[in-house]
Amino acid sequence: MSALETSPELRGTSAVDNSLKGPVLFLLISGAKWLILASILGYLVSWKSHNPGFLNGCELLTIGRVQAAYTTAFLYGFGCNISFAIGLWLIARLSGTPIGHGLVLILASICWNLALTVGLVGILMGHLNAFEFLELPSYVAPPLFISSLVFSIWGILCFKNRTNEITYAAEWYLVAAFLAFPWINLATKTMLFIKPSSGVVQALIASWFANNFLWLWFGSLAIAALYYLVPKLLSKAVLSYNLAILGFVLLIFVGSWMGAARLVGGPFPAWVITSGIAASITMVAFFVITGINFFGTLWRNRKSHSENGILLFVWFSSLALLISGLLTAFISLRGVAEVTQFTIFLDAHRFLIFYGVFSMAAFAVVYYMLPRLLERDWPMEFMICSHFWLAFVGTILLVVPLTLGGWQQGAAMLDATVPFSEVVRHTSYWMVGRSVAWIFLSLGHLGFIMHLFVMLKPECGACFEELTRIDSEKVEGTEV
Amino acid sequence: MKSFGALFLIVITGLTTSWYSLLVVTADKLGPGNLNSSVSFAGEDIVVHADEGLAARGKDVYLEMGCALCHTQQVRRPGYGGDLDREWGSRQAVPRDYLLQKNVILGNKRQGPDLSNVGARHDATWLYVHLFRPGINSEVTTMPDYSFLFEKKELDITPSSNALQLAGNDTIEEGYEIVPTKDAEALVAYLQSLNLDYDLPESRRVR
Repeated sequence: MSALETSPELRGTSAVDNSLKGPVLFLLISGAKWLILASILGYLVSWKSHNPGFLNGCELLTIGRVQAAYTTAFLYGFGCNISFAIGLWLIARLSGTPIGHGLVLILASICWNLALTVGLVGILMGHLNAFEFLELPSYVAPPLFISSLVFSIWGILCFKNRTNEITYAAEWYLVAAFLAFPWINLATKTMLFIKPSSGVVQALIASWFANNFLWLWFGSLAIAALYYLVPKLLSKAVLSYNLAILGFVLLIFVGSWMGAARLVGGPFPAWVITSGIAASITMVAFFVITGINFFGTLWRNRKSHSENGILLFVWFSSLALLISGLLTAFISLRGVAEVTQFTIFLDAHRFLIFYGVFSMAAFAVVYYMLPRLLERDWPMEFMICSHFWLAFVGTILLVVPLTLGGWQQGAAMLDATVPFSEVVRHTSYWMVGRSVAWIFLSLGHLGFIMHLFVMLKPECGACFEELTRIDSEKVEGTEV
Repeated sequence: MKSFGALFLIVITGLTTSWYSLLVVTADKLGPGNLNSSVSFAGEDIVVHADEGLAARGKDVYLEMGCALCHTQQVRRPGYGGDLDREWGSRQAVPRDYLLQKNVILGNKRQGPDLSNVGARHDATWLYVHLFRPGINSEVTTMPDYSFLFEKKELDITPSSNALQLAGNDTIEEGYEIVPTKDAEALVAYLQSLNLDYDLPESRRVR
């Protein structure tokens, strides 16, 4: 990043960056705050799950509620705020179009975060829904939907008014994400809360949502980020652009079917489950394509680039994408799902997708974006690498024990001669690994946030000065 | 994929196809239009369970407490998973079983056992004690205490009929008793109502 000042793209894109500076910084700071809360809640959930005596008997902090609050803070608080920020910046950069009416975006961010805060308090008070990733109380759904719609419309309009003639692969995924997010929310919430469908289809709707929320929203954004960053950081094109088109079509037409595979064995017609399994297996092609384009490109050029923190995040995200994708197909198989269903194996898998793939890619974009947005380098470059290694160790420590422990849990549950209490006892040992992992993850987050605030200090200072200036003017005004 | 129109069409067609074919079609096939909540089988008229009265309130408590994040309510078919071997039910659960429920909570985690038939396994006394302090009934458990669903009351001349019977280390100080709150009563009523004690024509079928 030392070559930043000489970068020719900087001058041409400063109008784009300036138009987005306010909203993006606002979203980033909000995301950072949620990340602190998510880390605390994540640790709390983890600790309570193997040590139920901790903060026992407190209604607000019952494990079910804390877990729902954690998922919400992590995915909707940190994940979505960061998604909106990087999504808008990437699409504006790639389209070469400044974004208009930034104030509306800031208002939408305020609305999103206020509604989320109300929702989170609601969850702790017991107003939660029992569907995965849909725990937020239904009364905060309208403001959340409206604000997400604002981000989507702004992103899509930016693409429509693009001045760059070429359309990049990253842009397809960004447009897909911005279209999919309001779509899946509207479809799901209508069928679950506005005009509830009766019977088991509720569980199918929820699992359709969970899959699309992970892959078509977070997944699309992560893939867009990688399609942007891999060529930028290596100054080399990805291996196959033609395959990228096929991959995109696969994700939209096949990827959106994968959710049903999770319901295997449940009270559903066989064709519903089979469609999910078939989709998950077909999607191996998609993950091989992204594997070739990201991992392959990185590997082929592994000697030609210097070590840099952002690239480490990109490496990890690419690898996690490949592994989590292949795992999706593996655990969709009926014989495998018989073991892994209902176990902590699935927690590990979900975490790998959200954190290993999405968050790692998002951190990389944030580290890449801010110096360009603020036109200065990160104050402490070594912090980027430290953050990566903490996140790396944390992810491994979380995913590996939960995967192994989940397999053991599932195998033991299958064997009816093993008493259930024994299953519980063995599983809780593995879950200690997760608590250790959260210490590493939290330290990484703390470093990231501190670094972010040091980076933003001049902006915050300027903002503060402006506020105090207005205040003193007001005071003077009243005195006169 | 250069134009916005093409991209828009691909994404919206893809999502609409999976939404319609998977959700709308299934909602119709498994909904009240195609499935009846009452059915004649083996000479008996059977109506599937609905959450009614105190149990309906209890289901709200079940949701509020986040029970569904660790417990499932689905017995898988014979030969798939150990649900029947573990005696979590005497038959598999089928779509019709859930037809009259406002909120269907199949669940996707088994940190605790499946609760589809918990009403058949345990009586109210056991359930109250278990909610108050799970460690009393189960030697190894990661379930937290739901003691906030109970009140500590000064003992009257005659103890309350619903006071918890605690023994050994778990007894409380003399002159007091532990009684369930309205929420605990509703929750236990709900848990007791969880019992698939009827057969349906399709429930014996092995898919």
